[in-house]
Amino acid sequence: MDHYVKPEVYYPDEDIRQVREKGILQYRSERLPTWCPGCGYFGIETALTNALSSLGIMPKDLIIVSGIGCVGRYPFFVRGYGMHTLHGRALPVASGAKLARQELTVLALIGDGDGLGIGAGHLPHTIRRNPDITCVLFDNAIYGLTKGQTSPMTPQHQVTRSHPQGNPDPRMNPVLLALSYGATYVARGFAGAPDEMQNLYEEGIKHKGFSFIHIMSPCVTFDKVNYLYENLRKWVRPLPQGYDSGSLDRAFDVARGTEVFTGVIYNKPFL
Amino acid sequence: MGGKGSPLTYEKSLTIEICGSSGDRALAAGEILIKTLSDIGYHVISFDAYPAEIRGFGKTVAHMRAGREFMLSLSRKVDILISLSDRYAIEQLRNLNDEGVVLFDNRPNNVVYEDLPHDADQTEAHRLGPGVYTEKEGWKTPTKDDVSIAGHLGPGMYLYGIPLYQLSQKTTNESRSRNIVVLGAVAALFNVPEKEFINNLTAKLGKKDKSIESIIAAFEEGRRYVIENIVKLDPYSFEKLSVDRKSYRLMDGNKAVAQAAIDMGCKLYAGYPITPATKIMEILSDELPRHGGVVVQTEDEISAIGHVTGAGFAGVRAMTATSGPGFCLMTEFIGYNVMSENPIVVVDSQRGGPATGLPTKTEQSDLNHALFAGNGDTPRIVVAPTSAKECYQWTAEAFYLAEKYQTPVIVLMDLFLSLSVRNVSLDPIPDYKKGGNKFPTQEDMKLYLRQKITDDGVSPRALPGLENGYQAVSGLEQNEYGTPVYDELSHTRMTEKRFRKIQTALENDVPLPQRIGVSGRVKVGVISWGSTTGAVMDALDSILKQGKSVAMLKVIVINPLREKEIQAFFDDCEKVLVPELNYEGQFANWLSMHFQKKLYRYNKVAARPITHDEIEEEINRLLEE
Ligand SMILES: Cc1ncc(C[n+]2csc(CCOP(=O)(O)OP(=O)(O)O)c2C)c(N)n1
Ligand code: SF4
Repeated sequence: MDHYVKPEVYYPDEDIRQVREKGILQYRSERLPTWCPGCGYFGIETALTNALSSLGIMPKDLIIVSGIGCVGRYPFFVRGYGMHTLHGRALPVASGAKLARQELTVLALIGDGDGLGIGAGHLPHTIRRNPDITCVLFDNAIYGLTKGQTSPMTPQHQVTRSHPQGNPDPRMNPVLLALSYGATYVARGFAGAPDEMQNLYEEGIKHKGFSFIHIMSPCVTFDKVNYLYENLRKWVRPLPQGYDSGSLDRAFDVARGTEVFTGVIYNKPFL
Repeated sequence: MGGKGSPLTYEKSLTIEICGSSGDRALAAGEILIKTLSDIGYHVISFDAYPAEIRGFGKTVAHMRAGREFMLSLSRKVDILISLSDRYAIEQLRNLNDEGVVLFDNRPNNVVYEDLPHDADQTEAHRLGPGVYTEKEGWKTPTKDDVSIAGHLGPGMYLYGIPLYQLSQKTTNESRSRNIVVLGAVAALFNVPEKEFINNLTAKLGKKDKSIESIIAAFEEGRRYVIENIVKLDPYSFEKLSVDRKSYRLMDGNKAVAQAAIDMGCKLYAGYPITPATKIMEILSDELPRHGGVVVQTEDEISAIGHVTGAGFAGVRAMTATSGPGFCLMTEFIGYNVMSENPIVVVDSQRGGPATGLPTKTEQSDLNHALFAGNGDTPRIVVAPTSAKECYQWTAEAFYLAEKYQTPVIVLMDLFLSLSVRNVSLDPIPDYKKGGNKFPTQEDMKLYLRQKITDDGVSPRALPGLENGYQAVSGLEQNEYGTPVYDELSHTRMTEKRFRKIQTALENDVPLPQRIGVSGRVKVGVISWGSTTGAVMDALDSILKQGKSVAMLKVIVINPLREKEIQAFFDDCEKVLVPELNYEGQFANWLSMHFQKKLYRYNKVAARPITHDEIEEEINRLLEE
């Protein structure tokens, strides 16, 4: 960036400076989230900002890139640099931003329709290129923003607005997909378990290379049968004691298994 | 050698073709010839994909034009046809000037040697007499396909037979140097100085394994043969001109674009291969890393423009280049960058369309798309350079404008511009163009608003890394505070702002269109865009010499348009001709949206560039009408 004239850095906002000096980082923008009350995304947001705070990443060094969907609104609620891009296109934009400014922390937030439907083509290739960005999949197994149509994560036979006779197609398996294409950090979390999520984010951001974090999150408004808090609480369980996240074989077992394990499924340290 | 060759030289220019089958290395010979002509002071332009008839596997044609005066287009007719493969060259005869010259491989017994392997049995060949050797059938009696080009010439044409095969064998022990022998013959026949030729032979082939001595011997042998055995009858020749062309380099439009990107400090190029833009990526892949940049070959064009969008937001100059089909995929992101006011540079090198269209043929039919692509009201800047030199200048300008006005800038070139090689002298880019961003001032930082409404429409743009320059840009409509909004007032004010910016660009940074030719009132005025402008300029050169009442206006910035100046030009013209390489008259239609003037359209979908002779004929037709 030597070709740019670097502007002077100003600290007009005394508050922010004090906050910084006290070691607490303020990531909340003046805009309040517009998500429905009870939406799982609140938990995700809190955990993510806590992770950023605990890693000490300054808002000025942060670019949050999102696609379109309820999840896409995230950058508006955060102090920092944000790009609310196009439906399905967060990954290429995030990659471009990271390639341009290696020193910045770049997060790509994608929805299940957004990142696994319309934008799915970018996922394998982003994994292959392995940019040092952290991708969080906000999976609510439904199209939230457009009010309840089938998403690639909706279970087969589930009735939705776009499939009143039931979804004819099987759902995708994002963890398996990420592992298959060689992602070096793959984790799964649940929106109702903020501490665990925070840990997954911190590990993911610290990981050198592409990290993929699948978060299962209830859409309280348009999904009354599948990803309910009580269902998810029943389904998810932490990876067993002594699980070796360095083993790709074990990771594949977890991805293919019927049990829904949460935690760091695969983490291959960058050599 | 004797005869009438006078140092011409030919009034305007000479067009030369070297035609061969794939093993004949006609293109390599063409490259050396054009470089030599450029070195001795000629203006040159070469376009190997031309003419349109090249089809089937194996045929290659090096096509070039050289002249004393500056020129930007091709001629319809060929003056000198050099055949390394008669089978293919016979097809090229239809483009030969009535008084054109043919050089061919004069072989003993009419044997077609072109497919002869190095180790083929020569004795056998001579025992059988006239024949053809093919790998499948061995020696056989010639058929219609095998006959020499000699029998196909028209009455006024000149024919020179040179035993290329034997001379090649004699000097290099193989037949593959026929392309070098023929260059020696060209040097002698058309008075091209030997020294420059040999320099270029050495530069191009010296690094290869074969000893350069034998190559030079092959060249000398061709030269000697002509001097000793041929009586020159045709009127064409070159000479070493006393002009200084040191600052000139041979390059095609793709190279010019890539060079501009490097010189402007572009740090990220993302692209997906597509003819004819691929070469830009290939050049940059090689060179950008040395300048601290990266090149990403993405999974598709959506991802390519996505990468460029992210890099642009991060504050780094970035570019992608594509052709029509890829540009279609980029459409949504064009709108996104308009809405989020993000700088990006997109190069579209047009080829025949729609859809996959004519991947290897030139056309100017993406203008509609470049101007209008995207939903909603999406103002953007569209520039269309007319020559390789301008490809450099206007790609650089595109970076500057994109950054200064926080907008997508589309550089429209075409296959002809992308791939034709010319000798150009590049104008250096002024330093101030290398940084156009409007950084926030201290005042702005008191309450930083990314989407601030300003008089000129340009908001201060903080880049990531700056404390408190926080922002969330979006493809949603936002108010000054960056909050998504859906009300009439906000949408109106913001839409106006986005259009106002482009208007500011027009006032500050769009040069006046250049008028060439007779000033004041004229019978015929030509207004043109893109590579066709070259043909118009060349045509005008010749028409003006005949004292006719003609002028032209060269428009490079297609949006925003310099309306006042164009209107003034129209007022001066009795008739306005708009030639372009598309069926609908896309530029004419664009002009009709802005001006009342009746336009005389000249449209072709010829799968080749419009030539200067065609434009000249059309202007003359309008003058006489
Ligand atoms: C190209 C394009 N097609 C369709 C849409 C409409 N659209 C907006 S959001 C969305 C689905 C979002 O679902 P998901 O990604 O699961 O996110 P969620 O809203 O559930 O968080 C759709 C189809 C769009 N914005 N752009
Ligand atoms: S629609 Fe569903 S996903 Fe969207 S905000 Fe409401 S609860 Fe959350």
